Amino acid sequence: MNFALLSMTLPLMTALVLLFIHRRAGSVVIIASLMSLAAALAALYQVHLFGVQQMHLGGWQAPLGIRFQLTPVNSLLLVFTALVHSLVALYANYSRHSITNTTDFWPLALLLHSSLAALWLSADLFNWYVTLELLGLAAVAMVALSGPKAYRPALHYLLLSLAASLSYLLGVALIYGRYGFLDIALLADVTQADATTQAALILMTLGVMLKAAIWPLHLWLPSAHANAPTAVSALLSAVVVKGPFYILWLLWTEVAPVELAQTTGFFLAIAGIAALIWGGWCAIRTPYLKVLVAYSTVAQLGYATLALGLLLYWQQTQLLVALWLFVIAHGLAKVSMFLVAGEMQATLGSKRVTALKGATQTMPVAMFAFSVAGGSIIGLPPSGGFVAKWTLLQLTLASPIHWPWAVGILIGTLASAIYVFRVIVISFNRADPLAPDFSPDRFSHWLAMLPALMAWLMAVVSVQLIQFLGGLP
Amino acid sequence: MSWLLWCAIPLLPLFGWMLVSRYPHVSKWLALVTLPAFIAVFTVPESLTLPGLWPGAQWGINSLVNQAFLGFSALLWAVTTVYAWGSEQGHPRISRFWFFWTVAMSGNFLLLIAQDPASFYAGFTLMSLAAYGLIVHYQGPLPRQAGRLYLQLAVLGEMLLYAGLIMRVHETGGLMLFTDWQTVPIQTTTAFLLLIGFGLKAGFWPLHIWLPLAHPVAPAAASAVLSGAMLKAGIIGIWQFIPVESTFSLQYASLIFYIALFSAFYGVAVGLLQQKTKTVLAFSSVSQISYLLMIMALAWQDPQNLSVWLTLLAFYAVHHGLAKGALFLGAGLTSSYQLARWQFALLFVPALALAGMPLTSGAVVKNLLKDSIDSSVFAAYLPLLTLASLASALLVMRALSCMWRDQKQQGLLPAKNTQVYSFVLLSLMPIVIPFTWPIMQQNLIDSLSLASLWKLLWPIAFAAVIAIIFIVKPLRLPKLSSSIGRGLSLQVKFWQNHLPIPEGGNLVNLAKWRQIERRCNRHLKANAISFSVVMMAISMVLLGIFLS
Amino acid sequence: MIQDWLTTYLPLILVLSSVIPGLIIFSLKESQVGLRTTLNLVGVFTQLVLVGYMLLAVTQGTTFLFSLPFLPAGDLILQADALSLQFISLSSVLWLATTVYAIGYLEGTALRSRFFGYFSLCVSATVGLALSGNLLTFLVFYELLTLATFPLVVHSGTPAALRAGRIYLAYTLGGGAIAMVGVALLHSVSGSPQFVPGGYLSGFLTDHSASLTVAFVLLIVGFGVKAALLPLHGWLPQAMVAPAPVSALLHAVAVVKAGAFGIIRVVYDVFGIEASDQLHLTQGLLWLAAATILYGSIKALKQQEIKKRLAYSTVSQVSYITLGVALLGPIAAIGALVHLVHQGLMKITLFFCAGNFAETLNVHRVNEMNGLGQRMPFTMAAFTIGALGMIGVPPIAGFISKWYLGLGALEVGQDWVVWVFVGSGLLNAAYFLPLVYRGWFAKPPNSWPDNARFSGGTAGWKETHWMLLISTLFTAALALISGIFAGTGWSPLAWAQFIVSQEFSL
Repeated sequence: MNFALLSMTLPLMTALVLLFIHRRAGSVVIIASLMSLAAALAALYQVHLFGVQQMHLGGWQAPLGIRFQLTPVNSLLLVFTALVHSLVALYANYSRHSITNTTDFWPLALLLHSSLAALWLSADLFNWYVTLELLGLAAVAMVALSGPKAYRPALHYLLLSLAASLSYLLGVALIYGRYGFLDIALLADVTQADATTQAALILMTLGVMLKAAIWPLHLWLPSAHANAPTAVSALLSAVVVKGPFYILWLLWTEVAPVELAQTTGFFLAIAGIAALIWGGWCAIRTPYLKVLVAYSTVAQLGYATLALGLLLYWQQTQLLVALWLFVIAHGLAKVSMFLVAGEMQATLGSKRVTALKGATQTMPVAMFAFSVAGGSIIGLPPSGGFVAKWTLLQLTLASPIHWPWAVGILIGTLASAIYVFRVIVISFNRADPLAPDFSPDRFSHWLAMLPALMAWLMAVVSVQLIQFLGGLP
Repeated sequence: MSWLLWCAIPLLPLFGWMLVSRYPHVSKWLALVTLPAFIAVFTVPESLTLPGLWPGAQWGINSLVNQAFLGFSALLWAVTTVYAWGSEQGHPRISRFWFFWTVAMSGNFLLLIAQDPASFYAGFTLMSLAAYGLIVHYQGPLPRQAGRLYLQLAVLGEMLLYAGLIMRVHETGGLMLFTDWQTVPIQTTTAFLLLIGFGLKAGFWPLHIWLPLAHPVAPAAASAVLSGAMLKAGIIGIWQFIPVESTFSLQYASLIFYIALFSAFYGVAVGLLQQKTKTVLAFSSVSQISYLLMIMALAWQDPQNLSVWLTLLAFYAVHHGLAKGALFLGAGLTSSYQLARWQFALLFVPALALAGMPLTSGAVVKNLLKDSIDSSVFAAYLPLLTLASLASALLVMRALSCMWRDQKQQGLLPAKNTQVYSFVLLSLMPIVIPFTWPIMQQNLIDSLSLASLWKLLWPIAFAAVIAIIFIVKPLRLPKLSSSIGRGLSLQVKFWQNHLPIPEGGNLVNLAKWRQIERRCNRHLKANAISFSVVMMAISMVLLGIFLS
Repeated sequence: MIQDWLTTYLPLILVLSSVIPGLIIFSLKESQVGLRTTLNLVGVFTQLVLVGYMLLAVTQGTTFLFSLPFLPAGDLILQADALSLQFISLSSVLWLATTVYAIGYLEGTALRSRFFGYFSLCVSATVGLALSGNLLTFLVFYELLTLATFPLVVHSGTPAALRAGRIYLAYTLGGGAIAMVGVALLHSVSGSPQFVPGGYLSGFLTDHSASLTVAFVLLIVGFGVKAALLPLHGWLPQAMVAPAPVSALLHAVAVVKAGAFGIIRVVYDVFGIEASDQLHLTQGLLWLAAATILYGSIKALKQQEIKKRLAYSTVSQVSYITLGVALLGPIAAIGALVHLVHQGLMKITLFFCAGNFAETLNVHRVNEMNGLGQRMPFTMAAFTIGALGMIGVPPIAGFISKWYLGLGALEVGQDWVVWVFVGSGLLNAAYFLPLVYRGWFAKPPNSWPDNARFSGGTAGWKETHWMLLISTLFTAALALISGIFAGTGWSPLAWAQFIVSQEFSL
């Protein structure tokens, strides 16, 4: 547990340090992120050895105190967050095209990291509100880093984020008024399906859905993610949207009464399918590379939503394996895709997909990284995305009445294949003669390859991962 | 050492081609590649089983029919090879000619020594396809059309044979030897597939349509082997694939007999109206090949006397193969070279042999055939058969007169020696064979009785009289097109190139949908917040309704 | 000791024998021709030697098995049984021919490192596919094959190539996704155990018949895309815009055969003959295959481009394999398995020839073939062997396949199938013989173009680049030899009989 707390507090403290040190901020952040990663790994190992752990902040017991818990899922997410942050920090510091290395990016990134870690570890509704608020504000500020062109999307993001927080807070207040405490473990035993609880759950759910950009509340996401600086887009897509998702998951599996959860699950599953189709379609149609990647996030969140929805609908807890595998596989692949997209956009000076003509010749490594990441996004075997989809399919196909859901998954797969290969095919066009000042940044290309390869390596350890998360029937 | 011999029979021709293509001057000796076939005919070594080839492969000679067919085919190929060496010398595509020549020869030999259906089919196919190259050897529209029709029918025949073949293998439960096949009854479908498949090669009515087109356009040597040896391949195919003794044979023997009879007259009737020498000869082949079919029908009707039919079939094939070969060579010579009188006179030997002249092989086979029919259930048709020999006599007269007409052209050169001597050798065969072939000798002597001499001679004499009348007072005969096949073949080619397949059209108006999509996108982008809020409100209401 | 080590790791080494050269080749500069060629050839010959060893070992009863934990109840398994070796032998022999051909073909063009890199990966995917020990592993390599072949299809980078690449991907990825659902469905029923002759699903027939039926359909659709079954064949004629060695490999071994091989595995080793029969699964497949055979032939007649005609011919010919499998009889099975090899040999020859014509004399269309036999006699001879073999003319390999397929159809009482073969043979003749006719008998043009890459040669051994010629003649000779010497112990036919004796436990 201590390692987990260390992993959470290290970035926060470094952020404070950065208030005084301005030079070499990048290197400091990299070191801090790596140390946080190490701590997270240690925490993961602890969970592996000793199972779920609890901690009461300051020794106060619930319902008064604040409780932190460390479960297999959130220990994995902790590692994942630290890993993504380390990679993005490396990129932000060393890439020639990074526009964030001399800005306020560094403390904000650390704040983001820290609040996310706190979100994973928390287990009560109000704590989540605080971390959500922090997360949202840091994210909005980071979007705005790319300058005036990003103000409008950032403003949209801010407004909706505030609205979402408000809605969530309202729900929390209702719960508090009804039951008198906010710890989810305590709430789990007492919640009833009465009107107040329903209203509270609806309000919280909608707030969180808006933050997690779950269809149909995803409209802010594409423009915000596409207009943010490259490093920020990577962070937002890979980890930030997953935070609210975690809350949604625990809210409905722990707090909500089963009969409510089943109905909501059905709607969530439908929303997931709709996200797969809608996001996929938009990604297929958009002419801009980063928008494509952003819409792909909307679509991929559809898988997670579907998994969550089905988990609630069928009350089949094993689906959480699929759910979190999706989240992690998508996050790793998405980091890679955004880094590549940003790099290429900067190198070629064009946002358009068609500008990638001949990219396999001019930037082979970047293009390869994109393809590898794309392969995981599509779910080609043997990648992390495939393992996730496979576990989802296994539980969907187990009985014939559930088969229609598999059709949705199939459609999602095909849509993702189309938008990924749309880019790849163009890159195989023969290149035009290069401009004399053409100089791709090879280091960042290789760096972008790293998370993509990790997404595929997930398949190698898939048995262990599945076991760790709880196993399949 | 017998394996070497059997392997050499089909392979030596191919090897010969390799030599010839490398060293063109050895083509003079190309005829020597037939040597192993001769040796096999005279020594009849043991059969050779070849487990390494396709399933069941076995090569050898297992009956008089094989032996006789191989013998005369080898002779014909050898002689015509010498002839072709003389006539085709200097042709620009001579190497190609020799290729198809030797492949056809190899295939022909292979099918004759095959004792299993797969080897037979392989040889038959090689021969069939290679013959195409011989037919179209001379460039030009006529050879091309004739070749096209030939090839279309040959491929059709191949495919029908394929179907018949595997059905037959299936019926016999996987047996792969002709001798074993004789004991297994055949089904009607299979039998008809085989009959038609082989019939397309043998060329009896109504499957003869390619014959009158192909023969005139091919080089003389090629026509000689086509008519002399390759048509017989169809006959031996039917003989070996369809068991002599079975319900089918008994049931359909009479039908086949009538077809053969009709075909015999049809060939003559149409042949008489033709102008070109080689077309006349081609129709004569249509008529003559029917006798072979007739013999088979008789055998099916009366399988007890198998040995009689075997002998008759062998005799007839040898007789017709060599005589017709000689006539085709003669036709080639008369149309392009000035022959000496004695040389032209020699043409009468094969011609009269075909008409059944005593002291020739023709007399032997006619006599035997008539006797056999007399003692069979078809005895009532004997008069018709006599009429048929009159008709064939007339037809050969017609052919001779055509050749005489060809000789009257201006500016013909004397023929080369090799060509003349090969022709001479072949045209003497109808006399030589009956005297030298021991089992035929006896029959030759039988045919010399006064009664049979009369029977043989009067149709020839009568035909001669008619012929002389016509020569003295020529009658304008109506011209009859010999080429129903040509139009048919063109039709097939047309369909081949203009198959009516509908192409799919574009059903969706893409531009309109694109417009709608753009409008949606614009709205969603501009009003992200309001849309989100509306969506949230809707969701709230919906969830509220459904949860409570 | 060494024996044990070999039986475990040889399958993996076999896959790696082309992956490693491939990855090294990616990193090479364009100018390092010698090193690249050496790497290619080392990979090829290593693989040939290993395959030879395994062939020997498998006939003596050794089993090769390598497995790696992957998913619950579904390991990654590489194994070498008789069936996989049939496919591997084909692919490694043809890889040799194609490598030599491609080195000659691409001489002096751009992006060769990329080409040969993907080329090697494509072969490793094929080898992996053949060695796959269960459906899950098969699926993995099936998708990898798609990914590895796609860059080859679009290698030339022209708009036409990109269009073809898109269509190729649309079909194959779609098929792959459907196959994945099928595999997942079966996995949810029974897990993914190793392939067994006779199938492993007979125990699930009563309880899960609906699942099994749906899974069968999904798998056939998924694999049928690559095998170019009727409504799913659209990519194949488009993919022929790829460079000639790629089309050759695509049409002869890698892609279409992967599909056909998948169907073989599903019917024989997953469902098994009995289960397929009891669920009445194969009758529909039979009709579909028959329809594809005739449809492909009819479409081929309409094509005026040589390669396109060949492509539709592939559509038709590959379905012979499917048809043979769907007949469910041992003799038909021999026909199907042997056609897997024979069609590969003949079709690769034909595509090589088409490539030779195009590169040497700029001949792309049927009506430009007039008199080719005089200028390029050897290539034309190889083409003739391939074409006649496709028609089923003995003693070329195609005849042997047709013989067994026909007999097999009669054996199981599906007599109508024989007529399909007759019709297909006629159509084959109708679209191949005109080409042969033009090549040998038509009048050649007054002069041959000299703007093509390997023009300037003379008829005979110098008629085109020697590497192009030698690989063409090599495959043509193989097509001829495996037909003539079909009865010998080392022919594809003998091996097919060996496999069938195991599959049908005769």
